[in-house]
This record gives sequence, C-alpha cells and structure tokens, in this order.
Amino acid sequence: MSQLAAIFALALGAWAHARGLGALSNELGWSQAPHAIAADQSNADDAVLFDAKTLARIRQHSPRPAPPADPTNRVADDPRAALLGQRLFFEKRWSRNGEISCATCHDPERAFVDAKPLGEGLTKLERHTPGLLDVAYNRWFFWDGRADTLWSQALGPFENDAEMGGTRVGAAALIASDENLRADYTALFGAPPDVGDAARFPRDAKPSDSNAAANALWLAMRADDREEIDRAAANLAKCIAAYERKLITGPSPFDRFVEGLEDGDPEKLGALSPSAQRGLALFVGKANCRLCHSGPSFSDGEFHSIGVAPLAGPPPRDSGRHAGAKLVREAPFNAASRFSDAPDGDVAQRLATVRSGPEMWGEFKTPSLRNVGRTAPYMHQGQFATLEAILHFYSTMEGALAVGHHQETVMQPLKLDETELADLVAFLRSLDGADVAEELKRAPSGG
Amino acid sequence: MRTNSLSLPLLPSLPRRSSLAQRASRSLLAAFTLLAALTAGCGSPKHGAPRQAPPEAKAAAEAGPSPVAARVAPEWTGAHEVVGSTGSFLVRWRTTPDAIPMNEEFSLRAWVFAADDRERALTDVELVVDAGMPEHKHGMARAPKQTRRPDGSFEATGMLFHMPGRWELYFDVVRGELTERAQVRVELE
Repeated sequence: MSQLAAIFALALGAWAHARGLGALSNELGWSQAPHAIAADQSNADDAVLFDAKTLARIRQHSPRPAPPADPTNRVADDPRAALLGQRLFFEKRWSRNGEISCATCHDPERAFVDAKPLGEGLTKLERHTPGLLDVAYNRWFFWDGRADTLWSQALGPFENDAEMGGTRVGAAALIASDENLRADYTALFGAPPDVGDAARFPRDAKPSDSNAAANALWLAMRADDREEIDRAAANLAKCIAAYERKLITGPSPFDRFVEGLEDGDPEKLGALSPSAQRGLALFVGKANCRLCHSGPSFSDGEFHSIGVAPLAGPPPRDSGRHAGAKLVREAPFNAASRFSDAPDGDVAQRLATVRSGPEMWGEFKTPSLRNVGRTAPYMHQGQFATLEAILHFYSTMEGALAVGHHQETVMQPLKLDETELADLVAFLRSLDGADVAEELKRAPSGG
Repeated sequence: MRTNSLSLPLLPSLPRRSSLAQRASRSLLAAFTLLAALTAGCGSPKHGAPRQAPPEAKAAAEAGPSPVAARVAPEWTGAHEVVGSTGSFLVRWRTTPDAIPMNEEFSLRAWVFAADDRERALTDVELVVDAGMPEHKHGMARAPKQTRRPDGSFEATGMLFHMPGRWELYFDVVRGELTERAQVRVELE
C-alpha cells in the first residue's frame, strides 16, 4: 500500500469510528487505523494494521467472562466460607513443623508464587509452584491435572510429606480446638467431628502411599470415623477453594486495548505500545501461540509435551499427565466422589472421558498467560527464568527433547528475529492484570 | 478415501457487544447453517419434510379419530451426511451445539444407513467416532463416551476440539470383521 493509500485508509477508518461504524470498518479491513493512531499518533509508520481475521482472533481472548461456577462445592461462593478459607490459607499450625502455610509457597506478595524454579515445602519438590491468580478459571489442577476441582487440589499439598506434611485428623483436631475456627466451621457445616479421643483419632493418621506409619494408623481407625474425618477435610478444602476463587485479577492493558478496539477510545487503544501490538499480531498470527494459549485465559486447559528438558537434564523422568490421568479418575475426592456436591454433574461426567495412553507421557498442563510477567520462572520445573528465554526456546527449539514416542508435531521452531521476540515479550507483559485487593493478601483480622 | 470438507463456524462463547460486524457474522452463520442444511438435504430428497396426507386420509381425519398416524420427520432430518470410503454406508450426523465450539465439550449423534437404503437406519452395525488434527498428528484430548441409543442411533458425549485449526471427524462403521471409515474435515477458527 502506498503512503497515500495508507493515509487514506487511516482517515477512512477514523471517520468510520467517529460515525460508530468501527466494527463494520473492521470487517472491511481498514478499521485498524484509529487504534494505530491512538497508539502512536506521532508516527503512522508504527501503525499496526490488524485485518478482520486477526481482529476476530484477538476478540477470542477478551473480554474475560466471570469465572465458571463450581457446583461440586456448595460453599464455593459463600463469603463466610471464603473468609474461613482465607484463615486456613495462612494457617501454619496444621503443617508438620508448624511453620508452613499455603502462603509459604503461594506468596501473596509474589503474585501467589514463590519465584523459585522448584517448590520448597518440608523438602524440595520435583515441580514448580503454580500460581493461584485467576485459578478459578482452571479446568484441571496441578501440572498433571490430577485434581478436577479446586477444592480437591487443596487437599494435596496439605498432607504431602514433602510440602506441609499435615494430616486430616490433625486438621480436624485444630478446628475442634480453636474457638474461632470452630465457630466459623460450625456456622457452615455444623459441629466438627469430636476428635477428643486421640487414641481413636490418632493425630498422625492419614492415608499415604509414602508414609507407612501414618497409613497404618489411618487404616486402624473405624470406617465411620474415617468417613467423618474425610467429610471434614473436604469441607475445609472447599473453604480454601472459596477463598482462592476470589483471587481474580482486574483488567490487563491488553483487555483495555481490546475494549478500545470495540469503542474506539484513544486512551484504551494506547494501553498497548506499538511493539506490544506487533507482538499481539504475532501471537495470534505467525507465531501461532493461540494454538494452545487460547481463549480468555490464554490456555486450552489441556496437556502437551513441548520438549523442554528436565531441570537436571535428560532423560525426563516425570510422566506428567500419563500418571495424572489415572490419578484424577481414581481420586477419592474427585468431582464424582461422595464428597462432591455434584457427583453427577458436568465435571464428574468429564472424568469418564479422560484419555490416557503412552502419548500422554511427559505432558503438562498449558499454563495461563495472564499475569505471566510477574510469575517467573516458567515451565513445570521453572526451567526458564525469563520470558525472553522461553521465546528463544520456541524460536529455535534448542535443547528440545527428541520427539520419542510422541507423534504430536505442534512444536516447530518459530524462527523469530530479535525485533519479533521483543514484540512478543512486550505483548506478554501486557497480560498482567490489576492485582487483587490488599485484604485478600493477608490473614483476616480477628482470627 | 472420500473426504468431505465442511467449514463449521466457531460458536461464540462470550457475551460481546452487539455490533454491525457481529450482526454481519450472525448473518454469515445463518447462511452457513442454511447451506449446511441444504447440502445435507441434497442426498436425501425422500425424507425431508413430512409427507402430505392423501385426500382420503384427510377426509377420514376430518370425520374423526383415525388409526392412520401422522408421519413425523425422522430425527436425522437436516443432519450432515458423509459416505464411507467404499461407498457402502452413509453416515448422517449432527452435533450439539450445532456449531462445534472451540475448546468446549460437545456431543455428536449419528445414524448409519446402507448406501442403497437411506430410509432405515442400520441396527446391525457398530459405529466408533473419533477425531484428530492430521497436520499436528494428534487426536482429541478426550476419549468420548459412546453409546447406542434405543432407536439405533449412536451418541458420543464429551467430545472436545481443544485447538483451532483443521480437524477430521472419523466415523468407523464396523460390521462383523469389516470396518469402513467415513471422514469429514472441520475447520475451527
């Protein structure tokens, strides 16, 4: 397009927006001008022109709807449950050494991550700590998706001997003995289990594949006692989930930019720099990031192997979704379990369609890209310290594992130049949403 | 192997502002739907709308209750159609929702017919529905639950196309030791 034609297109697009015909002009392919002008009015050469197809793809990522309801958790949106869950989230007493809470790894001052490649609880873990911002949008939980609800996820780290090392009996005892926790729990679920008889309810008892002593104590308990404790543990986990569902970030610069595409507001259109706009065009175009990072959460919520070598070097030993698929189907607290409040609901039905097979070995969940600018490092073992490092990998596939028994060929070197890499980073940084309210980032007062 | 190509519009999953572009898109969607319905109807002119009752039946109906039951359009009316690789079978299919959504679960209903009798769905065959992205060499992220309904139709629930791009839907019709495949190309944007 000649300079003259470009100027004409810009003017025509601006006129269309002024006349409220922005969307129509988008369809015609010359509406891009107004936001380009707004982004950098001083230099039309920086204008980023989005064609109609690109605009349609951009709109698939924003606006973001409200988080999906969680019918498996009847207190998911109960403010009383969220408040109790917030207390429990910051509670250290139920960890084995009395020093670890959920917030230890999911640090509210670090966007609910720990900024370490591998999580560290009682011991160092094998995987990177996933973030909790916007977690209510997730379809699966944990890197391998071995939990299908947010509340059942919360039960894992709490009892894991490498993380908090607690026990569900110990948690029930804490609830029963702490006046505030007991009152909050009772208001929601009725009286907690009477676990005063420590011989009948051993504090160290829990089902465990790795802790034989704890497992033996658990199996020695009466079946109805175990059931009562399990029920209480599920209730506590549902409260933690109710709190975590509130960790929703506000609109990001990208969201404001998309609003600007709709209403032509120059201020909103200025939310993305020309570089970030170019990165956006790459994201939904040449770089094809949208294949997996799709939708408003910038994630398909499913599992893929992208060939990143383990932190300690090849060969890979973590089977990821291969094990996760089996675990979620058999999980005693899954959506179809008797502890679910919708055991026949959609999430429970989904379990019946979970696919497993050798091709899933080493697959991990596609992480959301919202807030990616403040949740480094990246990947399931924190293999990449920066966004630049990730994009260099995608661009060159240097160090990627051999395909092996995986046939999937989604991953191809993008071969991006330095400017394109910088543009993509600029765009990714525009996905950081407004932080959650301060009162959600600390233990509630009065507890 | 015969391949049918079909473009299915992406089902909008988000509330969006009404705009001229969206109205235009809806018009396109409606046009697509109409085109699909017309295309599906092309190969099956015998089972479209309910047949008009003959004059004698009409007179009997006016005279009072009659044992002559009204003809109801078969459930597969308006469904998409695809023929198997050797031309032995015809598969009629439709999804719920009508437009296959991107990365949202959907269900699929299908009926199998002998190529030379498109009036009666076969009850002595099995059908296995699957899908994949040939360009990426991967299948669905789910193993849909597949059941046979009392009326002889097949239903696959929990289908999921989790990526944009070119998908292929596979209908494997199994009769005894023989399997014949019909496949349809689906573009998800």
